[in-house]
Amino acid sequence: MAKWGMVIDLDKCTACQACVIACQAENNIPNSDPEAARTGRNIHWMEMLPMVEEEYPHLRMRLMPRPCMHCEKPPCIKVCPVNATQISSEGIVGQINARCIGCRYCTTACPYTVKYFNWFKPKWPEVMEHQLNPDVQVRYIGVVEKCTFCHHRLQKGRDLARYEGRELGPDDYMPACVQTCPADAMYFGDLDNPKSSVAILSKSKRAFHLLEDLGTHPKVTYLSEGV
Amino acid sequence: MKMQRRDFIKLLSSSTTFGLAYGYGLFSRLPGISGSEALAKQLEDVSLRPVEEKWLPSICRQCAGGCGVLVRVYGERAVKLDGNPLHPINGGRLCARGQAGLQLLYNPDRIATPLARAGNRGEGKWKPVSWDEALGTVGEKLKALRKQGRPHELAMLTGAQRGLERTVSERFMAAYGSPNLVRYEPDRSLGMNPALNLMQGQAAGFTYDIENAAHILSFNSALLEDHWSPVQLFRAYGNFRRGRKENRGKLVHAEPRLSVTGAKADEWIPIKPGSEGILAMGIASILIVEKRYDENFVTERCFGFDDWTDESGTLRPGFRTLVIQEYPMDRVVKLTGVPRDIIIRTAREFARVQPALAIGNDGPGVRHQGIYNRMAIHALNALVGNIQKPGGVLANARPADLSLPPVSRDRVADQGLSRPRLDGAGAERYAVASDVPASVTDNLLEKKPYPIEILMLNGANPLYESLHFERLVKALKQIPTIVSFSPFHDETTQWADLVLPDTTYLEKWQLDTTYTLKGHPVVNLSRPVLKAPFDGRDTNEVLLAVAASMGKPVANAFPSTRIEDLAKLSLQPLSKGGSGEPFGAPMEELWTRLLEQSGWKVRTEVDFEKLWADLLERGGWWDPVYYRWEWRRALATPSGRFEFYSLGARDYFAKLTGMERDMALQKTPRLVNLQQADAACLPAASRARAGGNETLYALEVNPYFIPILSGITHTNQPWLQDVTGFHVYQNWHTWVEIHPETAHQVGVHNGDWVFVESPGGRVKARVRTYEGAMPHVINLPVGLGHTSGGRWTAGIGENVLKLLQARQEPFTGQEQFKPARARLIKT
Ligand code: SF4
Repeated sequence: MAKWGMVIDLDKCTACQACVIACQAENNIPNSDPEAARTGRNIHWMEMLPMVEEEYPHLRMRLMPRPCMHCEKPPCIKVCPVNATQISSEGIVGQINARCIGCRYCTTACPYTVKYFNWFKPKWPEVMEHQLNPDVQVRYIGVVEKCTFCHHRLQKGRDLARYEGRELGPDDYMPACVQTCPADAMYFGDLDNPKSSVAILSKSKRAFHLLEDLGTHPKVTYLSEGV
Repeated sequence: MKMQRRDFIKLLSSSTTFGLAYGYGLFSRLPGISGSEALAKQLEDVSLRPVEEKWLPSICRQCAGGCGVLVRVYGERAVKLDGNPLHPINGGRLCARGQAGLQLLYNPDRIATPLARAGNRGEGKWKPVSWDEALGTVGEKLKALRKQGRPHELAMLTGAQRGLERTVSERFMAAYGSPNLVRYEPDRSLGMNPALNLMQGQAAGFTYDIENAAHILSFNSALLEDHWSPVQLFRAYGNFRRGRKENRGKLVHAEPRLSVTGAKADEWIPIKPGSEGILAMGIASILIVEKRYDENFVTERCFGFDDWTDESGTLRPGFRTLVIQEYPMDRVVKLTGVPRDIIIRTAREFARVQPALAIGNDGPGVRHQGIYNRMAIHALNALVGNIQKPGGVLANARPADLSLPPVSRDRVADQGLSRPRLDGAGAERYAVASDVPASVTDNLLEKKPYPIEILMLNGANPLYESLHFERLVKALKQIPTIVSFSPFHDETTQWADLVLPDTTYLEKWQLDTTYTLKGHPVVNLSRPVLKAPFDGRDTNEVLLAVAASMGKPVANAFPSTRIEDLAKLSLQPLSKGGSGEPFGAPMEELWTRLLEQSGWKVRTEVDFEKLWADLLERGGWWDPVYYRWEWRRALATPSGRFEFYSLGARDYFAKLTGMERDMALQKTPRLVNLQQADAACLPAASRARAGGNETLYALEVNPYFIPILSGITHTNQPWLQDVTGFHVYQNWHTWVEIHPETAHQVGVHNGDWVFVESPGGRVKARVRTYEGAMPHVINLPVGLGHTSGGRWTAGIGENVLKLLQARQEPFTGQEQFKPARARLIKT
């Protein structure tokens, strides 16, 4: 059984936000507007986080693309009263809209703030509905949504592999953000396969995780800048 | 190039897959979940009925980068854009703008039908008209003007056109008889090129081999934010950092603010706004004094490094004299604000780690780095001999000639074309400029050299870009007829009488030539991938139709009335053989290159129809072979060498007389010791003084282009608007970045709303204290503040250009920002 994980090399990343927009496009994320932005109710499964350290002129600013960490020990699932958020046998933390009662416990429990509540009824001007991805369900008001590692692509990849009578290969499944990354800074694959690039890179000397000490065991690994 | 197998299959098998549609999780197919009409519709759509699904190639046009796209077409709709993996420019990747392309296609604020003005000019009242009626009106007006023998009184302002689009505009104007085809877009895609042209001669453009450089010294280059071809740049950057086993590339970046490029750099050097060229000269002086430059290259391949004697026997100063006499270290330190030890360390490192590149601003956005400062920056590349080397500055290879046979013209056209241009380009002090948008406003107002009767707006929105807003409005009011082809109600379109809405890129035929960052020419070809969601029409086709409706001789401009036929005709030369090929799989490329290296050259004629089909299927053609040692191409100067002292510039000034010469020289920098005539040909870096009273306006303004919006014309795209100022957590309004201590001194707090006032104007902005701002320098984002153009752009933030004033560049006549001073006033 695969264990899906991601590696983001911050030394290659240019903070261009292609991953951010690719995610919006792939996953039918509702449009933001000034009001949603002002109240912090806009939705970004993938977001570019700035972290400023030290002081002028020796300032450092780290810019980190931040998807869901797909923790091996996800704090969010423990607090869900209805089992709407679960971790799959392959390590993907999912959200089942039809079960979600909108209590928002999980949005509070997630230390990475990757869970988003639908405060508004998601709607699109009619002509924009054309672009909705048929593979991804649109959400509705009152439920929580989150990054799925583009799980629907796994389903499709698996179907294709099955149809062609072969095993799922490394190129059959890749989230939208990884696929588009212009600098080739993002890697995706099976952490349990010692030959996969993610397994090798996550053992790099430059590897670190966000808020590691919380014991969440994130499956998104960052590689730090510099030599 | 990472190839994704499934894309490859999709592309090459050219079969369409019949897929079942899935939701994520079984639950998407449960009926009865309400709360969203979109969901309800989706459920209807996503039944188990098979839907035809295709991935079709196209070309991204969200910027001038030239990336290849694959469009996922599901039934009748486009549902996702991704990169074309075969494409040599983007290798399957797209940037944020590219990913947002469907928000342009399916934008609810697009102009849905042709419109005729119903109210007063600028009032925004329209009535829909049919295409027949609209085309009829335009045709009649054009015919009448031509009949009166005044074809030159038609002017067309365009955006950064290339390829077939350019050909169509050019031929239309030529056959009609007007010289007034003006690229309005200021300084776009010019970047470093004009400066490089002075030092290396006219070439098909220059490029930096980022990927193979070991060290990059960036002089406010906005490399990662504002490049002319972002995806290529990002790919190259990834490889520059970690693409080689050892030898990770190092990036040092000088800029007044801590930008994205600064944050990603290994070292950020805060520098006073506009003084980058002077820093370059400071570095040059260390290289010269410590003899750390490449003597071999300088003696073998350069001109004007040492003093030289001209034809009259007069001694002229060379680069060394310029540097030593004009840029003593104390002066450099004072003008740039960069400490001496940092300059020395930076210079030594630049000389030691090779290949090293010095790059100034090469992007479409910020316009403050004048041509002389850019020359100063580029001089460093010659000092370390990094020209035409891997990891160096490369002159683009000559592209295949895709021009159509010349337009046959009648007498009326010839007469019209013999008139001087509206913008003065090509004559006297603009002799070397192809377009001078900066003189358009004045000349329109003063009706110089003659009044304009009909103005066509084809991809240009001068009212947003202009630094003379009010005068331009006045000028527009004087023009009897204005026709806009804009797909959106942009600012300038508000002043039009007739709007013939263009389609967006996925809906039209495209043929476009561009380059890779390694200097290979690329020809992009694509056809419409889906039915247009609005009743717009491709402007190129409209021009073809208008020409046809005017009958001979204007109709002769085009050998066919179909754009597809024109594309076919243009591409004929590619089938005659040569060294290029349709985009191929990486394997094929490798193979071709191997063969090339062993002296074998592809020279076979291929069947055109087969080539055409290949090009359409794969997205285009390119020439993967690049000859580095063609010095005649890379150093096409009068001396055949790299010119520290530009003989091209000298010729240019020598040809001018009297007032013209004085006016041209006035725009060149003043030096302390050297004569003006010499300074005008040397990399005489200077820092323009900021206008405005220093006590009243205590802060310096440093405008920068918002990375995510840079290079795009239509910003009515909510995904992009939501992430404009991510580095300071700001979006959907204009903000001003200020150092916390400076904020304290001027009495403002984080989150306050203030007016930023300069002698030129004022804008409302939200204070954001930012450690990455230099003390006493405020940073403001450019790209917001449209007054029309759609719900996600009109009234969002303010146009920071209002604070700035213009300065005109010598040679190109392009407009640059003058440094400005400002103060903050609490609202
Ligand atoms: S770089 Fe330009 S052409 Fe390429 S994807 Fe981005 S916007 Fe499109």
